[in-house]
Amino acid sequence: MISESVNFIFLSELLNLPVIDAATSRKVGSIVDLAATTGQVFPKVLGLIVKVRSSKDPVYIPWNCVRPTSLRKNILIDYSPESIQAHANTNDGEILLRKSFLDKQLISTTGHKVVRVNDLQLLLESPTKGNPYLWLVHVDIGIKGLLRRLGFVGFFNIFSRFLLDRDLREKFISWKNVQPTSTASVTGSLQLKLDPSKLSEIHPADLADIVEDLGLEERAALLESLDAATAASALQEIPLRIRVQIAETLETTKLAALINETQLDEAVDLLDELSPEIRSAIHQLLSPEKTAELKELSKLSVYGVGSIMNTDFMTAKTTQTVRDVIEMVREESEKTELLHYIYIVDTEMKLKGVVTLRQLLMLDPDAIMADIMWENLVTATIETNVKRVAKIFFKYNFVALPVVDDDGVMQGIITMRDALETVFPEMKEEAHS
Amino acid sequence: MKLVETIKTNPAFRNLLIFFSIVGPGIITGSVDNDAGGITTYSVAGAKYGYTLLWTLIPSFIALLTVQEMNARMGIVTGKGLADLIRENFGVKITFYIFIFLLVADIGNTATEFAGVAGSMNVLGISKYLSVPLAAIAVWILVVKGNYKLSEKVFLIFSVFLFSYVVSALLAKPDWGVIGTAIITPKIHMDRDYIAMVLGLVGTTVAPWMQFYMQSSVIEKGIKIGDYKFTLWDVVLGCIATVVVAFFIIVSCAATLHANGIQIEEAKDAASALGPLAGVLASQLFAFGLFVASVFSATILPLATAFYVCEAFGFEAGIDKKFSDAPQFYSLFTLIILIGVVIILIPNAPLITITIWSQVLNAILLPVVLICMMVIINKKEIMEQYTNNRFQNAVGWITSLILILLSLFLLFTGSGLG
Repeated sequence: MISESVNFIFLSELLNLPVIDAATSRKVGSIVDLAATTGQVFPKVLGLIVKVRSSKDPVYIPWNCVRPTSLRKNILIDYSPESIQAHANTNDGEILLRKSFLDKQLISTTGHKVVRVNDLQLLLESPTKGNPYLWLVHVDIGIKGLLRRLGFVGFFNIFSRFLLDRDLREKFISWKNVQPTSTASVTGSLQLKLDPSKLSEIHPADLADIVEDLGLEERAALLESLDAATAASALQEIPLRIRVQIAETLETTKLAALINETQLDEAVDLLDELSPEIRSAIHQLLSPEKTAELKELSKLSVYGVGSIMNTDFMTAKTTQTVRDVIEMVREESEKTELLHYIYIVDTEMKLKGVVTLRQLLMLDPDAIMADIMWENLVTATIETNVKRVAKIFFKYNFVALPVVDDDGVMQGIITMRDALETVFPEMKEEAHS
Repeated sequence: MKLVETIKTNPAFRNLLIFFSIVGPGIITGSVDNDAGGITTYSVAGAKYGYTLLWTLIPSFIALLTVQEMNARMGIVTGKGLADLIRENFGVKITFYIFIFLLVADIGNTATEFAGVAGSMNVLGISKYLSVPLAAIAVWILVVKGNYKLSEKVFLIFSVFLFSYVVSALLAKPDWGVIGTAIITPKIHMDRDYIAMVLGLVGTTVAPWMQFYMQSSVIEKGIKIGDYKFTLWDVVLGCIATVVVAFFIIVSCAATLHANGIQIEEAKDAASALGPLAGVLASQLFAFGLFVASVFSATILPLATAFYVCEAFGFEAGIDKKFSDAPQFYSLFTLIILIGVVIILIPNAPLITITIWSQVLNAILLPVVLICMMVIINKKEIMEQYTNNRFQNAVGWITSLILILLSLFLLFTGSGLG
């Protein structure tokens, strides 16, 4: 005989089990939920929520009253009136497992998607002496869990054995690899706090898919838990109409932080769609320089290149040496989106030529820009039609195109991605779905 | 450039622009409502009772509007589909039985839609062995290979075609004085057939699967609560479109078939019978309308069904997803169409029985879904400040209650109308 037994039990098997007073063998009530603490990696059950005949609201029975049994047919407790508590007296840190998770959505942090909880698997640890422990270890998201809850699992297992020569497979995710979207505490309050550390490993594109699959409140909670940079890059991957909807549910300060981290052209697209009140609130929260930039791009908007232009580009003077410029690239690389081209301008910011990063790395460090730069430039102006720009990209195989005004002064750049996105907006949505 | 600026700054124009970007879910749902089954019911009602049943369109309109508005509001506020909400609030068992019934009912309904395709094309002289498979393939390609935006545009154009019934009715030269009197002073008979017909008319207007479809398409559009008023207009327009089309179908059958004492069993009978009475054009337009409505619903119905079944049970779904990402969704969609087509192509398939049984299932489901909706929409923790107010609750519960009574009656008298 082993001294300590460990076995698994499903939440759905525990629910509605009778709770029996061990001393009198009388039925106290039946179990409707479990209260657990989330302090550790796996939630540990600390109490039973039991429906009793004498009161309308279910009561809280601490886990340490539970006798060590297998919990299969009933739950034996050491009953004393003092051990029973009303909900309001209990610890707010404890959450309700059934109310929080069963049938609800969770984020699978390894599968990178939203899953629906069919059942929860608990681990029952029964030491030879003292009280047993019950931990929440697995989330059941499989068909088998669904059938078990419906009471059909035996029936389908026969089919499965007959047709596939095996039992139905379980599909579990470890609790370590899920992130709840909301939790209901024992006292009844609903919390929407997410742990950003579990989500930080997920690629922004996957995060975007997750965000799209969630309800509005959960979306806002998820984005608010992420740091602004991650949230911004996830948001960028979401189709604009949904992005606008989400943006309007976020706190203004959070939204401002997010927009601050978003690429300028994308930020302008978003701001242009928001209501004027939110837009001006955002403008006030951002730095005056940023606001000026955003407004400048926005004013230019509609149909011309201006609407997709990016003012985030690198310039060097005609007189600078390769060494100077490489040093500058090193410093700017952190904040600049596109490093391929360095645009060479004169003292009045008029565009004179371009050098590529590859040239810089290959040429003599003492050469000056005026001597090595390409002078035959293809440029666009703010009024140039976006379709024309797209054609230029196809023809010349550039990664970015400079935009100049009528005097040849450098205004910004258009990246191939931005042009492509404008010409084929539906492609962007397809790529993200 | 100047013009664009003017449009963007003028508030009236701006509102119109927003409206057109939001319009869709309500009108599409309203139009799908007039599917092959609906057209059959309206035609039979018009042929049998003339104008005397036109008054039922008013309560139908109110019921439809109430239910659709609630779905739109729930979708906008929660961002969750009705299937999601039912699963989260009522647990897996109720959800499972609702969806098993819905699935069976919708397969039956889909078969009815393909029967509409077969019937209408038959009137235009094309064999069902050609028209039904072709229509099914077209539907499948539109959904699987197309995307949401394209599908929605195609659907909206479909909705416009449904107005061919207006022309068809005008060609029948109805007596407008009599129609006006019939609506203002309804003559209610108390015989069993008449009441069953009333039930059929109201019941065909509010079908359970539409509620799921409406809510999901509002979410898919990403509509914000600030734009709720535009969505409300979309819903109102959709309901008006439903009722107007129904009105003209009844009128065209009443003015011709009823006036000449011709009884019919199916919508295609109406189309054929119209020929000698109102001209070939009227007949062909009627058949064309039936065809459009059938194809339209044969697209939306399997799609909506596959969508909410997957939603409820946690499979990935959506027509913007690839097959490999949402295999259950696409398999289910394909299967529903396939079964529908096969049923129609079997010689001597018991079509009328299938129609009646899917209507009976709908009648059982409708009260269940409505009660779920009423409970959910009154939960503060879900709807926040957007729960029903007293007026909305009164209208909602009265509508639910009447629909429940109607459904129960339909169920126990067994007089499911095609």
